[in-house]
Amino acid sequence: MEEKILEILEAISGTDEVRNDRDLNLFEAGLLDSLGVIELLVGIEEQLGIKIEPTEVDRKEIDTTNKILSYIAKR
Amino acid sequence: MIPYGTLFFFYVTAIVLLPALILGILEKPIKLYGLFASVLIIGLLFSSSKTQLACLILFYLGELFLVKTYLMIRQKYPQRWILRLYIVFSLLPLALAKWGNIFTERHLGFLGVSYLTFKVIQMLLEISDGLIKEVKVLDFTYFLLFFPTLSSGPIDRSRRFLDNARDVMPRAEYLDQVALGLKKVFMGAGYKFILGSAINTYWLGKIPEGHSFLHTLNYMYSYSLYLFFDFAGYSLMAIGISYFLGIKTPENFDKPFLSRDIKDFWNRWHMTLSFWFRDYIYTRFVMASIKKKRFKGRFTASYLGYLLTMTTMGIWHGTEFQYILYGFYHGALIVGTDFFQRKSGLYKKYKNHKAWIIGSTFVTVNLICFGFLIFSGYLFK
Amino acid sequence: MKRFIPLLLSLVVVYFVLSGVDKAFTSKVESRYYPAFGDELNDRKNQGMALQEAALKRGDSIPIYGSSELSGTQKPYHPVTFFASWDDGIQVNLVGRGYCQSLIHLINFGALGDSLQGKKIVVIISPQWFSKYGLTADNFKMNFSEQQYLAFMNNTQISPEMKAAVAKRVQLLNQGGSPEVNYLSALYSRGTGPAKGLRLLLNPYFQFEEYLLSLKDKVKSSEILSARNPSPRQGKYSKEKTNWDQERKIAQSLGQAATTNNSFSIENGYYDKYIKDNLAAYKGKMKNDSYLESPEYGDLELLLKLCKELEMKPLFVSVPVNGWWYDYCGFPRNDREQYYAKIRQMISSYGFELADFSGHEYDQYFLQDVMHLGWKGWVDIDEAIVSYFN
Repeated sequence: MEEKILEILEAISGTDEVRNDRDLNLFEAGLLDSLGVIELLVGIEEQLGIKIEPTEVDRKEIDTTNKILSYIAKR
Repeated sequence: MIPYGTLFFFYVTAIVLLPALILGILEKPIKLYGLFASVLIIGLLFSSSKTQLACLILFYLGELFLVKTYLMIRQKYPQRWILRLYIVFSLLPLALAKWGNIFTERHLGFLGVSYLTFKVIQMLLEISDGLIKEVKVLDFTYFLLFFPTLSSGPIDRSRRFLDNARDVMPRAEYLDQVALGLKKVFMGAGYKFILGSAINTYWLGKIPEGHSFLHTLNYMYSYSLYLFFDFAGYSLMAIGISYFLGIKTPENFDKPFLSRDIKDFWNRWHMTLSFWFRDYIYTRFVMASIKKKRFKGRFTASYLGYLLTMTTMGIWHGTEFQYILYGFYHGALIVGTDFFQRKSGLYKKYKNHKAWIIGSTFVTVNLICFGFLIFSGYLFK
Repeated sequence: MKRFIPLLLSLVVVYFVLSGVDKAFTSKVESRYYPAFGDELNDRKNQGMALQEAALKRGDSIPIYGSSELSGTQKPYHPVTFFASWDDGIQVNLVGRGYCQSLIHLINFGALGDSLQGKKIVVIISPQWFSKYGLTADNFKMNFSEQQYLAFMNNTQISPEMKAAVAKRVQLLNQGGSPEVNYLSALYSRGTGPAKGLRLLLNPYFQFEEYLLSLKDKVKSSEILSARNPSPRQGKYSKEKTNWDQERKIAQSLGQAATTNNSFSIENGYYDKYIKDNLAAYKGKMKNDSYLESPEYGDLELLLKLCKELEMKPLFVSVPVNGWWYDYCGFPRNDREQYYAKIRQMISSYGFELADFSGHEYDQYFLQDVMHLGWKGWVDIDEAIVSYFN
């Protein structure tokens, strides 16, 4: 599952930085934005079957790769 | 009584907040008292206009009915069209307030109608998403009628608000909140009543008649600053007063004139409104478009989403041409910025350089002020 | 508690700044005040307090409270002209304008409170105040002063009954006016129970608001005074030399010369402007009018009572109407006579002095038009003022 999420993130941001620096703030680094979040949620739903409503998560809960991974793991 | 407009309002508010302060210090829940205080202040705010009061009461009852029935229906019938129907119904009072004058002499709106409508729609959407599973009448009433933010926001979210309302803070934490709240109230008063009104009186108000280039430029900058200090000042006061009641109403402004680009600006200006539009219009539209594969290009949905969202935001301010243009202007700017930032090698290379940041901040602030110039209607007079 | 220290400190600073401003401008107004300012009909003076108080501090100042007859200050026997000299021992101070009637004046008196105690003042009463419906809300709001009203309600010398009665009137007439005033009126018009508690709770606000308005009044008054460039003038009056019969003769001839185009002894200009073209329409127009039933009587009663409460020494002036003109309009003569009698009776029942000119309805040149005091009328009033004040 972790690998799939990392692939989705790579596809959205177009870089492997998301894999290498997992505590990087993705919004501040410009790797994730409003559209990116949507693509992430759609990707997770389509590939992992986990449905997350956009207003369910706060940006602060998913602003690094590690946080995203642990958020999904809790679901 | 005018909210945040007269000394009388502040005096009455101070008295009304005293029991809340005592409850907070005693580590008792403030929620019920907060509800009582809100009803009391609303009574005073609307005491001079019975029509407005009647409109507010009808609005409250109608929206409560919608939320309660939708909550029941949603369990069995999750269809989207039902949600859409409910949203149309929930928007009726706002539509009557804006266009009711077509068929009646009376003004059917009331202070805060557009801000309260946001709160209701947020609840309907989150009921549909399954995020809200129950709505108690008292909770709904307190969230909707919470007096500090009644007239012009900031627009809070129900789940966040009710978490705060249920929470009983330890005394030390509550007192820290109160001290911070007090600071915000004074800062807000300084913004609105000193800086804002000084700009209005001694700068904006002194610009001579006639639209020469210099006058227009002068108007553009002074109006933008006035708008900021007036509204940010109000927001600070509303947030500060909320703190006394144990509610951490979200911030509304974060140095908007230091934005690096237009997208950054909308993360700093009237934040609760722009986040609302981002979450409930843009995100939903783009998400649905991607899932249904409506468009070919990866960014088409996003760009259309921006235009749709910002134009709606413009229309929300009013149906006059200047507001619609203002919304479209910002939609177009965001799309342009987004496109530029994705395509431009120059941007990617230099975006973290000091000179680039200063340059783009300068360009952005002028684009923003030009937007406010459109918004003000000055160009069309 | 540490976190609240900045707040307390700033409150202390605000307190010192405000009282500094207060002191500075109080003395500015007093030092800049000059006697001839009394000649001016000025909204700041009418609706504020600082300018009236500065005048009252002078031993020779005589306030004249009235309504529209006060204008026309350029007339030779108008008190401001007649007593124009700065060293003749009499400095009149005009307070009022059209529709400043009993209620407006009494709120002003109650606001000035102490400053009027034991003072001799002149109040000119006009019959036209006593129309069937009395003051309208619009006419009231035009002259109403929030500062004076707050000072009135905050004045502890005034009885609660008086405050309740005044609050009821203001509540009625201030519709659509300042909401704060309406709350205050609602709280004072009900004497008991929760209203009393709420009054106590809101009292600091009303005190502070009065203070702020008085600061503003002092600043504005001082600006007005410093914009003036007064130079001493000469008036006709002289304590030793004035011969009233002689003056009346001059007034008579002045009046005669100015009223040549009509048979009502109305000044030519006024006649041309307001009457000439509609003369026929006026005939019998007032035949159903009366000055006997009016809310104004209640207001006058309150004013008299207040003058007693404040231990003032007012001289009331009862002004007649133009008899020929009122007869032409059909206003019943009997009704007028009863009105004059009623005024006499009310004022004497309070033991106040009355300069009663009701017998001058058919005295040529006493009035200058249909209702406003004219050449001879002012001479008589000037004489009444002198004898009252000496």
